[in-house]
Amino acid sequence: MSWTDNEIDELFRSTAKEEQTVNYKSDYWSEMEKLLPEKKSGKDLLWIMTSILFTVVLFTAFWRPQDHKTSAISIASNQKNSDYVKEEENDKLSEEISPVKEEEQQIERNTLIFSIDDDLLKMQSYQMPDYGFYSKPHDQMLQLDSPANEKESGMVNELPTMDIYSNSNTQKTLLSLQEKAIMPSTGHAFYFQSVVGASQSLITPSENISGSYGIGAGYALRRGNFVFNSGVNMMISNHSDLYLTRTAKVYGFGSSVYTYNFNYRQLFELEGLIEAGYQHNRSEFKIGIRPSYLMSSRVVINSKGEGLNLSDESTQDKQVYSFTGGLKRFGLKPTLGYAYHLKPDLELGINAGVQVIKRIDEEYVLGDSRRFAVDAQIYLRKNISWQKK
Amino acid sequence: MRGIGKIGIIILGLLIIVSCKKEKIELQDSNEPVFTLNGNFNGEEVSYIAGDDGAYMNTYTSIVNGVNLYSGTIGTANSSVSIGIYNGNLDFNQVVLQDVIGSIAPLLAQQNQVFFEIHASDFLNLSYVQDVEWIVDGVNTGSDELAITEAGKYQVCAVITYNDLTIDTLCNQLIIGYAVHAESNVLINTQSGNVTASVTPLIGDISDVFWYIDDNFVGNGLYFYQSVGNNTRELHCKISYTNGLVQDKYMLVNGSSPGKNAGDFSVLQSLFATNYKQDYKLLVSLLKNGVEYRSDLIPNNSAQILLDNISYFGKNSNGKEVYKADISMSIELGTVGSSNTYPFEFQTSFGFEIE
Repeated sequence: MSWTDNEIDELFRSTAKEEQTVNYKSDYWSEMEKLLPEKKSGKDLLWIMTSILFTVVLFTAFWRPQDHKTSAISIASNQKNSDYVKEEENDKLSEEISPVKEEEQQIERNTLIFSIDDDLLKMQSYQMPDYGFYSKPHDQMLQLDSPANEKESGMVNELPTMDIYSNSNTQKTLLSLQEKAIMPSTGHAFYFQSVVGASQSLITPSENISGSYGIGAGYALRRGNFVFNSGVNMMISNHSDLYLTRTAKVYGFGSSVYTYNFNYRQLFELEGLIEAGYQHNRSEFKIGIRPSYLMSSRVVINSKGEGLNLSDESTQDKQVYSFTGGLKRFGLKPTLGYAYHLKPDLELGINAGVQVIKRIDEEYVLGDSRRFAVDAQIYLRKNISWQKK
Repeated sequence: MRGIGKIGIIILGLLIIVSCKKEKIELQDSNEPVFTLNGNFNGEEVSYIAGDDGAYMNTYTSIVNGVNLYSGTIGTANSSVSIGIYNGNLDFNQVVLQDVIGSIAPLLAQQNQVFFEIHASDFLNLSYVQDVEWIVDGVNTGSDELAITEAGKYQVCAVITYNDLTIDTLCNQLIIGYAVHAESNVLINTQSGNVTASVTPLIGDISDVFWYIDDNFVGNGLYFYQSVGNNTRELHCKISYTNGLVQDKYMLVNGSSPGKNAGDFSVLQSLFATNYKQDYKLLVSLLKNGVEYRSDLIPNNSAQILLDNISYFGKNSNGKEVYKADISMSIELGTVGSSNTYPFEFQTSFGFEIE
């Protein structure tokens, strides 16, 4: 005997029309518990932690710094701005995820449905402040992915976390971040900076500290959280103990002894800066080198000539510029630095360096040229964005 | 913002440019000693470094018997070593630096090697002459005979007192003990107020002869005839030779009294010439404990002298040019009035004023 299609359809319809109910009995739960394996409290904690971790990962996945290739929409940009949120906000929003977790989140994000609510549309008309080096151009901010953009990015399914924007608190936070935050991204910038510093004496023994100040300019390149700076500072350093002496005995028909005392008051140096930094939130940690070239000086020279002939005797004091006798022109300082980004385009930093090249010709000094003179600089740097057209 | 950037770059560039304007300060550099002498004198070490321990190098030119001795002295006020180079080619009447530098002979000058003697009868008719006084370089050396035993270049004047008590003076230059590169004999004759003269070359070829009477040009050529009147006149014969040398010979002529003529006595210098020529020879002396030891007092036949290098050094405090020579010597020194000899060996970088 075989069933026809109509008969089968009729059978399902009739069954569906029948009211099927299951009467609840508490005994069922006790019977079920007996079937379960013996309960272990540790497993509950594991499940809880796993759930929390999953939630956190899922939540923060939408706020992780995205690769620039996938950041064509403002959401990604806002996410990067989150690096500059106050610490407590930042802890919630921008926890880093591991590559393994990122893969899991990628699967999760692919299941999300992309929807744009009215609030997000409002953000489209929001006028973004100029964040200089750290911001995207406005035409790239809050820009919804068009099909063309999607095609370019190839990451249509990765469009993240529209449900975040459905949360009004998060929206407020993000809007606040847009005003405050600095967005690390790929970009170029010029910077100008003013520098003050202090250094150990170039000679030893001496406990004196020499102060310095100057201005500088340079170029910065950002790749994600990494920043590469190269620039040059025009530095003026003041010295109070840089007394050098040079004696020359010149033979001829007799001999004359010439004694030159150099009291270097100021040194004018061109100081290069090559550094790489890693920015985390507002903090940036740097490592680099500062090669320097002594260009000039202000020095008082006292000259004495004592020869066998009276006509050779002379003494004179003279203040001159651009004399560099007794000093070595080139210097090199490996440096470690830290910078705090006060504003998106303004940072306050400190550098500590060690001079690894002796700067004094030891024929000129009664003591020794200090081998590793330590110096420190504090700088205030203004970044100016630069986009290639 | 870009404007600010440009301004910043311009300011920075200007700072660099301004700071690169260098003010040059000339600093003296130490150098190695220039003039030194290290040696051994009679068993004792002799060492001087000009500029150390009060030693100095003094350069100067002294004149010995009318001849430049280009000299230098290294040492202290109490002890020193001097080396001199006699000039040469004296009859050319000018110092040719290249000749001096290139002709320095590694030989020592030596005293008592020449003897020049002249008598009044050699150029005068003694029957008219009562007395002749010889003045050598302004110094009266006696009557009748003149003897010169040291090489040199002398201005010799004969003050002639005739029998009529008239006095004339005839002067000529004599070069004794040095090379003579040209010589001529001038014959004169006076008669009836006229003078006849002729020039015969002895050494070298004559290119021209100019005649002057009392400093007035009166003619040229090997032969000369001129009315000179009855008074004694000075006849000046200027002879030019093909080797560039110019020689002056002076005579006295009297047209009315030939006996009062006085011929050129400078020609005698070539007649007394010996093999010894002091041109560019060296003189070494050492001063120690107040005693001067000299090289020209000793024959020094076995002396060894080596000149390695002669180069220009600079000018001394007198503005004269100084040459530096590297010399090694092994010689003997002697003292005046003694026959003792003292060996002296040394190497030196020495300075000579040559100008």
